[in-house]
Amino acid sequence: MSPTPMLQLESLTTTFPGERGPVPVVDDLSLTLTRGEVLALVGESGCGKSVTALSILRLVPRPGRIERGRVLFGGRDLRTLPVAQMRAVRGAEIAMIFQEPMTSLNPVLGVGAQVVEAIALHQPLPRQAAWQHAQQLLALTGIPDPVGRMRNYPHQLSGGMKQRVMIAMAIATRPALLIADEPTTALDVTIQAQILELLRELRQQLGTAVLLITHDLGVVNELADRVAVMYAGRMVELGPREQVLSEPRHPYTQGLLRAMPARARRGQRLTEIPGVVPAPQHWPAGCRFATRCPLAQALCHEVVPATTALSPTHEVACHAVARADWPMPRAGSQRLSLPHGPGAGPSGPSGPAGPAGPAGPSRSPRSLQQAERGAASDARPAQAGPAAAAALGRETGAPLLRVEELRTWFPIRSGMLQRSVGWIKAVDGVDLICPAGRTVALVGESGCGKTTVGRSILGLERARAGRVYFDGVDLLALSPRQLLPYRRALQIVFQDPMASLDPRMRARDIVAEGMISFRIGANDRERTERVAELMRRVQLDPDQMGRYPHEFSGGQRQRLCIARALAVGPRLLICDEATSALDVSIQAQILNLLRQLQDELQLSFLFITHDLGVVRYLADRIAVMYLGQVVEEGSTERIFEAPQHPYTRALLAAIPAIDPARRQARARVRGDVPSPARPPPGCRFHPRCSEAQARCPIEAPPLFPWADGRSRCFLAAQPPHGGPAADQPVRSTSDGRGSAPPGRTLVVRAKLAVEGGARPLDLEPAGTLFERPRKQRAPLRLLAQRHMNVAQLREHLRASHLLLAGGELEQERA
Amino acid sequence: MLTYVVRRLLHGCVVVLGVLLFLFLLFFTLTDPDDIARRALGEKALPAVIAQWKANHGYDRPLWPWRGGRDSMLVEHYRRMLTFDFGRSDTDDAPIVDRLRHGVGPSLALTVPMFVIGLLLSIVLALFVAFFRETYIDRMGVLLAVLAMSLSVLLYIIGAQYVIGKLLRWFPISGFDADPRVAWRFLALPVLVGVAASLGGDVRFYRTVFVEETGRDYVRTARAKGCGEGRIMWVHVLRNAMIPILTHVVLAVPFLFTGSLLLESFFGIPGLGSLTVDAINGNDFSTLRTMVYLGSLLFVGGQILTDISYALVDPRVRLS
Amino acid sequence: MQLWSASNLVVAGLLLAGLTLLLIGRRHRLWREVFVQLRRRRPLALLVVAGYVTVALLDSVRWVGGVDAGGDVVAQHEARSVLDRLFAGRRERSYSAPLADREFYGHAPLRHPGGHLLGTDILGRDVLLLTLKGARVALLIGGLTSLIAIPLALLFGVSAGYWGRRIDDGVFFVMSTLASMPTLLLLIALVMVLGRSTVAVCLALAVTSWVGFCRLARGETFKLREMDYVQAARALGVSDLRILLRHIVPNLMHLVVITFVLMFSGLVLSEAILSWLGLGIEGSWGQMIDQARDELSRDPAIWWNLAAAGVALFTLLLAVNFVGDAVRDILDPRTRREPT
Repeated sequence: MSPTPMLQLESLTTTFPGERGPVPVVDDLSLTLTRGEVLALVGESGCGKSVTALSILRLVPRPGRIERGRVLFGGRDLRTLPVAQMRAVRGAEIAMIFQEPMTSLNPVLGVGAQVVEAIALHQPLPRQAAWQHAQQLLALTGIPDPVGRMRNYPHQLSGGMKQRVMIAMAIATRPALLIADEPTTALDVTIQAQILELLRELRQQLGTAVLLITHDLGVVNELADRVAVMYAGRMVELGPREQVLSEPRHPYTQGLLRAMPARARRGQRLTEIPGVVPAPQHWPAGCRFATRCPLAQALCHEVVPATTALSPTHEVACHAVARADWPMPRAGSQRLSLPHGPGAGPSGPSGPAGPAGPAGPSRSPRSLQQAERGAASDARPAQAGPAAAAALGRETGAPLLRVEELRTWFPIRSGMLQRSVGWIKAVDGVDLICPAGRTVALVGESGCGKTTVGRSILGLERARAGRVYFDGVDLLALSPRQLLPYRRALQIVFQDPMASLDPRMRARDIVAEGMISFRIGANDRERTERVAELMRRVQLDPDQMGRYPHEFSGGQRQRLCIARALAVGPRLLICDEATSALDVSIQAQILNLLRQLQDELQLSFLFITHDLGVVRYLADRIAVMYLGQVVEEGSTERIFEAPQHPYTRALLAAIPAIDPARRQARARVRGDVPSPARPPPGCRFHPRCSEAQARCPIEAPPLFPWADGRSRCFLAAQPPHGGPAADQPVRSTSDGRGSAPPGRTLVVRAKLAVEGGARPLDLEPAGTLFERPRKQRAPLRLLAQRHMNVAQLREHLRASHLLLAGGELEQERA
Repeated sequence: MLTYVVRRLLHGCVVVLGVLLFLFLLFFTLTDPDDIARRALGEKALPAVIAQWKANHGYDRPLWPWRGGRDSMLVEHYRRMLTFDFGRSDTDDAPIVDRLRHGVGPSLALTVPMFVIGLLLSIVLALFVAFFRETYIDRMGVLLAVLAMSLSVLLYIIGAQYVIGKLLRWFPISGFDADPRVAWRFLALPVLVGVAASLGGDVRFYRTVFVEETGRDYVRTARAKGCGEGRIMWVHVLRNAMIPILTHVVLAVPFLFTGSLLLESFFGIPGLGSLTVDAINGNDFSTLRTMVYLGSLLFVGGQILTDISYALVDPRVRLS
Repeated sequence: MQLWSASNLVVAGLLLAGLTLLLIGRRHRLWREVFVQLRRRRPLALLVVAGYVTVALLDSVRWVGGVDAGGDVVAQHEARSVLDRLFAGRRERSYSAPLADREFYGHAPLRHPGGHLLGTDILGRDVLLLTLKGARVALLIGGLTSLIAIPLALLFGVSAGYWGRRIDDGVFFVMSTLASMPTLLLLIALVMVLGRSTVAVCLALAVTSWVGFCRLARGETFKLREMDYVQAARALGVSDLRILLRHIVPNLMHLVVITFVLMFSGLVLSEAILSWLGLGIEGSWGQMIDQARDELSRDPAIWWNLAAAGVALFTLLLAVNFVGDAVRDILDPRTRREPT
């Protein structure tokens, strides 16, 4: 790495017009990037990270504008460069990749044409040569069959593939700087690991400097050389990765790291940062973090802190750091302790495996026992009434909820008469046990059917087969009327708090909705009192019950959703990605609240999520789903210490490390998840499995009991892997290959190639036609409709264009 | 793709049958055939004459097949419409088919140039306005479009006839000639009016589509690649915007054949529009019926065309 | 009960309903915001619309007597509106130009020299009065038709979108059947068959105009049905009907308002065309324009009839279009900025 500065931002200020004059979204930001380095720009949403990136390329959407400052790049100030020259810089010298690969590619142009365009705009090459070059680029980014893919359209590619195409376009002319704006946020964790690996490789091969914009400190750790932390438009801390992540000096950076569930110890409260990032027009005058800062004094609210250089490479903008006489709460608090064990990954050869932390041994046997009791009670026929069974459940720890062989399929209609020609097998034989008062996490990547499981349990989705025992009563066998009393006991909290609150209803009516349908509370006044009590319970101000959802912040909305669910006195709360859409500091608040509620109300949680950091922190037991089936189940400790199923191992290996001493995210699986419409025969994971054996494509493995849980893998049935013992670590597979002899694997792959089963099928045909909120995944049931029903699609388009016929739809406002 | 088209065709057939049923209910059950006869023959026609007239025009049969079997009016209605045997006019007994044949030519002579000029002009104007979005040019464009939309077609016609035809005497006020060398002089004014009347709404619609497309993520990607604004408009935005525009446009094609009611009758062009207006004024239900039926046939055809063109333009539909 | 008193009752009822809606609307944040924004963005257009509504109301309240009809027994028992009374007895024998004191062709002195701001028509009626009276007809066309079409479309669209399956198939079939017939021809056919009364014309207009909104409502319901808050309500055991009334319909109300305003101008324009075909409503501006067309070809031309009706029509539609645009901008979720 040479120390020559390549990009220099000097007092960059970008504003958007507000009610009272322009509001700076990026304020007085100075930054230097040297040739070949990776600088990560970190912060929660609304901190101005993306606007900084767009300002460098002068792509800030109107009506925003760059007010002041210089963007020096290669000796030129990009801010004052003539438009034509700026265009020559874009793409050629500075390239950018965006967060949403789904919408960032032109849907009606071929993939090849778009890559060729990126080349042709800056290099006068003959068509044939440009095409060739584009093919090489696709190959370089690891797209299988680049020749064929050139003729594909974006909708035929999966999200990961699209992001690879975006990267191919970005590196087309070997830019000196690559700006990556949340490049992996919209992707699943295994795909994220693939993309991170690709970015690492490309950087080594091409020597491109990268400005990485992300909210994910794990991604930062995996990729960055230096880290710049932004808060509310200003930079608060800048330094080398190891230092910022292990010895953060700014209270905000410290707070961010402490709020990460992955770094926290099980059972401990997460350290919250109180409040939310204020909207730009409400940014305070002095230090912007002062309102949320535990160290804030009067000075902080008045004077903007100057940057203090702690070392030649580490700077912090904080009064507390600058002044030695600042009253500190605790002396050693800067040094963040890491949780025990190997971070959030599987036990590799390097990581000290086994019981290192206090949380492990103290809880593990208990949950093991519990599982055994649960299994024992399975055999007992459930004939007692709900009340009796409930009492029984509490006493003996029998499962509150037991799901058996659950199948929820959505028909794919096609052909002349719209008959069902196939099924999207969203849930295809799921077994699950939720003990009372405990938290079970259902983990899996998008499209694995985990959301559908939750909805099927609630009866929001009609299951085709299976049994859902709640207190020993099979809910699926009940009529809607009979089901009604059980609805009180089972409630749900969704991912997107904005979408799960009716924008036309006041907070009070939202919370009271369930009470009315279950006739809780004699009259309106009683209900209002109860609403106030519930709002206090979820730490909302009851005075705000007259407000509408949009008047609350994201975290408050999620609290409102929890209050609505609690209003009917549930015993099991299904949290469907309940914290995934929230920023880290808000997520910590909600997780703390959920834990507290569990203790106070003896709630059971079914936590559906893709975030393994949250799972590790919160769950007692984990069920891992892949393509509609639970592939592994067991206690949290065991799953993290000794994952048995190759998919679980791959999933865990893909999590970015949070320990700055190590970088460990490994793409253990290749390719994408196959379509649930055509799951592979035999073991569903075998086409991507590095340990697949000859029988895997032919024979579907059942759930083998293994250690304190179950595993759907033949390896679990064979003792060579160490037998069913929780304390014995799984054999090292850190080389990413596997235990199966290479020859056999090859045979399997060849066979699959012939059958066509290995080809990753696209999960999102035409899905991009619908806009959907960021970070939110399409439910599988809509997928089935999207799959084929073109007439409906067209009808939908027409309807939406009826509305927009002739209006001003500038949505470029921030 | 083929099954898709065939399915659309089947759906179209069902719709056409539905339209025929609706027409039957409207024209046979809700109207008294005695009324139609009296309107054709005069108020004081003798009952015998009316009965004879009803027999001639097939109005004397039982309505429903469960009364009259194959001889009922419903069956007869479907049979004749589906075999394009439209019969004779209620008012003057002239074969309707002959009239249709004579009317198509002049109608097309009016509507085709109107359609082509209007389409090109409105798309170019909309692109221009969208290119300058959020500037004064854009605001002026939208304002003018709303002004143009608020004016009744009647006022356009009357104004053009008065100012251009009567005061300036550039073109004849009305009339038609089969000879194309003469006909263009008669057609110039109605074409002008037709284009002007629909310009406002069209420009505004297309502008909205364009502006919405320019706000999409892929446009930002194209800019980050170093694309110029012109290239973004022509290559990226226009291609995507074509999808909603096509729905709008292809659906209009079949109606080129039915002509324009207002323009034709105001400007004295003997097309299908004039034919319809004459039918309305003369209470000629059978002609009107035929026109509605033909119109919906063309519409269904246009819809299938739209669906196919959709698939051609949008790879997401084509390849799913 | 006589016709005029019945119509007064209807007017009073409508007025009351409108005021109640307005009051309910003011209580809700969203609608209050719409009012405020509208007042800020389009004050002039709002004022114009309010003016038209006032004129229409003045012409809607009628009663018998109180006017000296000069021994004309029929005229004595004719119900007259406030507007009629304001212009009572200002009739001339034939055409007169605006503010003239002599007849246009005959040059005979007028009874009210210089009293006709917009001149008189062939029967000597004051054109200003006729033009003002047209406002009531125009609002009646837009209002009554919407009152028929929108609830109908909402009912069918919402149930098709919410329950789907057979209901959706049925509604979809009816919609595509109606939509496939050329609008103007269908309209004409309906009016010819149903008769030419005001209600019949409005009914015909409603039949031809409900499909668009029904399609929109169906699509939106389809989307809303999948929203998390509807799912949460179902998980809370809320009944279908309650979900429809509490969650679906209120979230369609902004579309109702947008549709109503955008539909309005289309309806009035359609009626103008119907009038020209002789199928319109008595006293509408369309009819005035249609009659004035021939007068334009007289020599010297009678232009004030046409000009008055044309300008009145144009101004109303312009104002409505502007208001409609603004309402859509304010309510369209895509352009709406949620304050945070």
